[in-house]
Amino acid sequence: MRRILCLAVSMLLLCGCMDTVQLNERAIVQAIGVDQRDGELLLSMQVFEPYGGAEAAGGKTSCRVVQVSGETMSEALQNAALKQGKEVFYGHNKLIVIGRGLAREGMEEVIRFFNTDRQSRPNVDMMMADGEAADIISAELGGSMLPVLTAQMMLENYKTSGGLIRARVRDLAETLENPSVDAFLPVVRLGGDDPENPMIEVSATAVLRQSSLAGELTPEETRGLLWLRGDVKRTQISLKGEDGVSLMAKESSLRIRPWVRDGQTFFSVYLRVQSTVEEPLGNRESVHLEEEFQRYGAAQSRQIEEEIRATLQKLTRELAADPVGFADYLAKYEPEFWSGCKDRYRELLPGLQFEIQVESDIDRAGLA
Amino acid sequence: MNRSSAISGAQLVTLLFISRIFDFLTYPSPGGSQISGTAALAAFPVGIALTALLLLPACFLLRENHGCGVVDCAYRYLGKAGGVPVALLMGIFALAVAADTATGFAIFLSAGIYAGAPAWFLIVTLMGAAVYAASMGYEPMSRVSTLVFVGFWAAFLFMGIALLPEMDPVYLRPVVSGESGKFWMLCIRLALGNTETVALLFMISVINGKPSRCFWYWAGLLLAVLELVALVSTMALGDYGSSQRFPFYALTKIAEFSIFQRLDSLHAALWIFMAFIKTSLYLRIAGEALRFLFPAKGRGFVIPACGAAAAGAAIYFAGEPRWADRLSQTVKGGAPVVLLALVLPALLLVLSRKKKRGEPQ
Repeated sequence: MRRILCLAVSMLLLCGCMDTVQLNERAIVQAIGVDQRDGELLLSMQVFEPYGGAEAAGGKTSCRVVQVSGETMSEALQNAALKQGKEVFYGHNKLIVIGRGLAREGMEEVIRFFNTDRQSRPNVDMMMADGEAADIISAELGGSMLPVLTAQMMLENYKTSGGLIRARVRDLAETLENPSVDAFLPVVRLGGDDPENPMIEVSATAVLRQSSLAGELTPEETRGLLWLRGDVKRTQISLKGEDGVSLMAKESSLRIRPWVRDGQTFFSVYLRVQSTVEEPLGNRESVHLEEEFQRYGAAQSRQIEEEIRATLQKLTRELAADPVGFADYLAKYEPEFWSGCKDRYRELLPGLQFEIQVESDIDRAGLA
Repeated sequence: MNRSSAISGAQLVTLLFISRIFDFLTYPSPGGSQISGTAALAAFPVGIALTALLLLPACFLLRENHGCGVVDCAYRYLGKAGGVPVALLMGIFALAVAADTATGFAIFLSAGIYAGAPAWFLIVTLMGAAVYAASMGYEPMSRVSTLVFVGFWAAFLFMGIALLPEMDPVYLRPVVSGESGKFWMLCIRLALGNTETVALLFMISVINGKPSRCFWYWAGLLLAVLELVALVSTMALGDYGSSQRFPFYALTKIAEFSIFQRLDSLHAALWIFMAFIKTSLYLRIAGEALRFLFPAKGRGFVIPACGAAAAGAAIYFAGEPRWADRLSQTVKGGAPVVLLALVLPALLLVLSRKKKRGEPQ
């Protein structure tokens, strides 16, 4: 009896976590935009407003935007708490948008903050705004604020997009630890046909060199980068020169191996792509299906190889950046060479030689 | 010495395993030595082999003195004049490990989970529970550790599956020649920083089973887990791991499985249980070693007194991070383990052999 009593009394102590903050005393941040303005960091935070059903049905948006500035991220966040009298909670933040100006100047401080901060999660998606991040965060799309979930779903399905690449806080933080490898960010802007009802769209991929914007890749070049990172799955490929033929790349497997000969660094890039013919099929009765598959396969291999070459040309020759991670392959497969050259790796980038081999395997067509 | 409850070899293995693995789950990068993950993978078996070598004199000693721990042997061969300082040394060492565990527990919780939570509250809560568990004896403690052991493997498996898509073998870089110094340093630190070897030697007399078999099971389990943790951390975190103060915790933060996002709460829950078991174990050892300081009637207060001393020390060290580091370095730096697990057993072994030679055939 005494034990049961002790247990019951001890239960009274287990009433929850310490320093509780009620929901209405919290500003729950869903997305953060960071810009640089007048030498300070300008934070635009999309804060969730937990309205009741009636108010939400009355057309009121479920979020509002809070803008604060500060010399550092911590100072800006502290100012946000002071401004609205609520504790800022960004443990459930889903998106970080960086302004173009800040990306150009360098965003190491911002990356370090989100990497080391206790509330921030390493898997939060990051984007770069094609202009000010504040515009993206505060844009009203279809009567409501930027639907963060839509943007996040778009990023989560990046492997099937073929023209969009995903970057998370930890991907950028990794490049701070390994400065030979560079990061990238999808570039977003407000677009669409109706200026009254803009849509959020990904227009390019920003390539960062040591946390600063080095240049941008077009959607085609972005797909080249996706191939090189082995990040392509269920992607549509419209074959050039094959009128109206569209393939679906289901799976791709990538193998990159470096070797060094006479001080020159070579990389063999072997890519195997499994595709199905999406359209048109069945209306070309005179041609043998097998021959058609072979032709499509050859055309697909050629097209992918061209995309990869164009991307490599831009990355290594024009931007002297390595978002693929060739440095990691050198460190793994040519460790002695790597330890001797890692300090001057940037100088080596334009001189890297690539042997690209793409094999296409077209196995079936839909249900046919 | 008076032993309260006997435990099976398997229970001892789980108790020591949970106690040892606690350190690795908040392990600040492999050995804190900026060594590559692959080098760490190679260092773990060498570290275990060094631990086995370190325990050789103790193994011979305890084989010749079946059913005795090191402190019992000290009383037997050095008399009370020698046994009391050895027991005192063992007690202080166990108290230091308990204080170090509670300090690490409070620092991690207030840095990673409850920002700004008062360290004293966390320490007092942990120590209160640990004192109660330690007073119950080894057997109840080992039963809890069995539950945590099962929970740990289930959680680890779950997390491993969640992390599969994140793993990239490109991060398994070969050990380069310049790393050999750091590699050997890590091996030595793994062996000499293993405070559980001292606990094992103290607890030998309370187990029903072959001590050497217990050691090998424990070492094998430890090696398997360390290799798996290092492999998963290296492949899933890559260079990002170097930016993290607590890489294993970072691993749980990036693991996402279906609707389960962030598995860090799972890690935190298990880790708190591990801290509780480790603190309880060392409080029990400290209590048993320091019993001689208390009069026969007051021996029920030994463990609460040890708990109060360890809590006081932990509260002080949690507020002085520099001193907390020094405490940790002292406890795991190698000197106590060398003294209590190598030098002392070697000395006792010599005395034991001498005594045997002097006995009439």
